[in-house]
Amino acid sequence: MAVFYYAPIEQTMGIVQKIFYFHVASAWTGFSAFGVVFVCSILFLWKKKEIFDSIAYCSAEIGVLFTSLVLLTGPMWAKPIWNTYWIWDPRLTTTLILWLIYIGYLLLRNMISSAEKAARISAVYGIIGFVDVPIVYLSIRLWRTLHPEHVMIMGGENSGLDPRMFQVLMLSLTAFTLLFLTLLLIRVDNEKLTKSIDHIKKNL
Amino acid sequence: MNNILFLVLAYMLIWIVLFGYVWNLLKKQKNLAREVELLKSEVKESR
Repeated sequence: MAVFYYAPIEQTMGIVQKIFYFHVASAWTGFSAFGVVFVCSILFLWKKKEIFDSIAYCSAEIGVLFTSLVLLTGPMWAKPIWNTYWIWDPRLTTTLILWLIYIGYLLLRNMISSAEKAARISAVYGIIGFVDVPIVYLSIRLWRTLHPEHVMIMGGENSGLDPRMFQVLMLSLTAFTLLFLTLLLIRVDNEKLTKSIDHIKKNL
Repeated sequence: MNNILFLVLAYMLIWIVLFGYVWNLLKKQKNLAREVELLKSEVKESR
């Protein structure tokens, strides 16, 4: 509601710029989810507790979901502005690579039959895979790109972002973060239950 | 295509993907609950 009724329409791009509020929030959530994978993978290798592996796995799945949203909404925004759905721009390419890395993570887990081995290998993969997240973030500074610059520095006067746009963006980021946490809690609960059922079945 | 159509399409995609995932999650939850009930009855029978 705030996106359509409170945030003003951007002068150059027009109404299509409103994709920004979900596109950026999805990217933020995807990066956060992969951050959780990174932290929980380290904790799993260090503490050897199964719960960290479950959180990492579930967070990777949700991260892929939100990165898919970034890759789907990006072209919808790009077509009317750049006149093309996709270009091999550094930001777009590194985001696609990030998505493929975590698709690989999910496939790898399902391909290894031993649960213990799968947890260990995917923890290492989850740590290495996270390297792409700062590369995606910094890609617009490191290389020439068509993708918009980071226009917002805490919504200050020189941020290039209208204060109402900044407020709506913050609201959107908060809503997406809460959605991520809720999905993660439900998904981890599911995973724990699945493991318990498998354990009971083996002992029956 | 009109700009507003891209906006509608983008928002539709977001809701479809999110609802699809939540739907899938709920379905998984339901299947797990069913399996728990099945296991409970199996344990009861074996006693």
